[in-house]
Amino acid sequence: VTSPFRRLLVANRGEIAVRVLRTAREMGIETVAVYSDADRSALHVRRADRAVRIGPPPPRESYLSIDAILAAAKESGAQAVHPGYGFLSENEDFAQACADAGLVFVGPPPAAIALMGDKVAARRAATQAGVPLVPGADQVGELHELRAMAQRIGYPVMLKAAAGGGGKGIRIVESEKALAEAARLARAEAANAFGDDRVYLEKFLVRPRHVEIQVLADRDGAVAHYGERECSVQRRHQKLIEESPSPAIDARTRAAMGEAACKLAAAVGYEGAGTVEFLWSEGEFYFLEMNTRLQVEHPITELRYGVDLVREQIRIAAGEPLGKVPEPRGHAIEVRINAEDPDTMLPSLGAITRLNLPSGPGVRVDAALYRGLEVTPYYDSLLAKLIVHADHRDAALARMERALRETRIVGVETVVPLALALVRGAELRSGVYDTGIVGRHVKATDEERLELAAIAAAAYRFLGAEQHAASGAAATRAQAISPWKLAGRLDVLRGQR
Amino acid sequence: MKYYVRSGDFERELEFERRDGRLVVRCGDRTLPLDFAMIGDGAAFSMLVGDRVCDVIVERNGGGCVVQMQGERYRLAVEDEHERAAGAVRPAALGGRQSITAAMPGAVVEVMVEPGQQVEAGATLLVLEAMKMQNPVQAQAAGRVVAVHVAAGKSVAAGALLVEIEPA
Repeated sequence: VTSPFRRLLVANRGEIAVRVLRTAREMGIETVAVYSDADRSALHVRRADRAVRIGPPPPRESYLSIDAILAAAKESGAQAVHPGYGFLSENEDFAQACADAGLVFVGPPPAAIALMGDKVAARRAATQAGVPLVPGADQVGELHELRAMAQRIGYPVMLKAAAGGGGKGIRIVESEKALAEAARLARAEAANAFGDDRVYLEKFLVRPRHVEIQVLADRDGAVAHYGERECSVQRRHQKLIEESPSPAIDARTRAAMGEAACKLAAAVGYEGAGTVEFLWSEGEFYFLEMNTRLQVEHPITELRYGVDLVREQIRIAAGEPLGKVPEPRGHAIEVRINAEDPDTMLPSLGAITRLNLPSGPGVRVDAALYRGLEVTPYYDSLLAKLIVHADHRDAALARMERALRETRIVGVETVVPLALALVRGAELRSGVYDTGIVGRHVKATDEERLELAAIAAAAYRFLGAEQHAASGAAATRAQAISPWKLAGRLDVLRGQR
Repeated sequence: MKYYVRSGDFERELEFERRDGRLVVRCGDRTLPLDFAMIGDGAAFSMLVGDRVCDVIVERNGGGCVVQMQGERYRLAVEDEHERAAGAVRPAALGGRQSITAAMPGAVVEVMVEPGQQVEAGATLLVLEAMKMQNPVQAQAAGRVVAVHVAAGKSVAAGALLVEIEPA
């Protein structure tokens, strides 16, 4: 088998860079990593064949710098560039600049990125392709226009960044009173994240589910879909748990959504892997947006279909035709493990001091974690993705619970406790849920387990105090216990038996 | 030695002692053998309560502990009998001056208030950016701003004092 490219540059970092490197390596393609000063020791650098520094930690000066990345590609002799997700993956100027520099951009043509990247233009394209839309504004407005539109379609409404994606710049507005402040914050967030402060407005649907269709399209215009992913478990409009298939979608709806997604992709001259996102509410589906890149949650599709989407992306970019879509099998679930406080959902920073990632049957972990990793404020808080696959949904849920219980990350707070509670919770298990599930989630207390935790906490204090007394030191109870002293003491205790 | 462990409405009195060198814990009317084996360097333990297996990570956090146990996380206040007698762990003062602190490290994007200004409960005092999100920092109750400790463009650490507000 000949490799389509000799050398591929991965213009990203973190777990997705490692993910892409893995497939490239399996395809016999040499890999080039790029890194900012914050990422010199990152796993994506250590797993690549070559690595080029592209600038200081702030993304604008490194992972978002088209000039720096093109210079790195030139310097390293790369023939193709994989953008991953986030950063420059949906930037048509970058895709164009790659083409101008004689590099193959592993993604859709710049025109398709531009069209789908402008959410207003995307809505228009969807309408023309006959894809249903959420009622809302098809033009970007100033505050007085937004106010008039909101009045017309009725509160609550959603404000979204015209250039948006990934949940950034989205605000729900309950009443006219809150519109001005929400618009100001959404604009500032949009300007900062995308360099474009335009926002638009949409009707807020009742108990909506977020269901998306994976599509692949080749250069000859063939388009195929790889089923749906249910991504309704979200907090702050960021996905937390995804599953495939969706428990809400029947075969007829699935076929209709798949057809709509393929029609849209064909209409915009799409190439490569893309995702058409829909909202599903009360039996109807509505076009939300198209993401012109690989999604974070792509592994659940890979496990169900037995396909490597990164390999398909690279093959398509090299001009090869689409393969046959395999029959999907079983049920797959992904949990995104973010560095954040599971109660307040605020980011948590620090160094990873202890790490145990799960394994065993049907478990896949996509991560760029290692002991000693510093979680910095510069980048996304995604630490790892836990993906499980099993014959049916109940078995997949049980497998995810098992995998979460095996996961131990110390040094930063993570969403593992929240994800575990959701996976064990009646609402997710029933399959009847919507994007409000995290907000409705009530922390349940299992007294028996709480008691075990209490025993652990008190035992830790007691053994520390015992050690302190034994060492003859003044008993300053408030003082922290040295783990080394405690370790020594415990060794002694164990030896006594 | 007795310990009092609390989390919300939950409270347990736990008494530890050694019987022939072996650790036991008394919890209510039950007395259970306890084996607390350290794994590695000091924060991770394999706990056996009777024959019940628990993998735990225990970290001290102010006046309490954070316990991670098989994917779950518990924040617990722990007092020993001396501390309880001395009333060492007092509840935080209620009402009065609000000291608004940064819940996370970040950069101040914009400051909306100045000293002397009256604010309503829920008023946005400033906007803090962290991990690409703009987060409004709001007043918990109405009052008068007495001090603003930050300016737009400045970076702040977690816990940094941002704004102080006195009851109006």
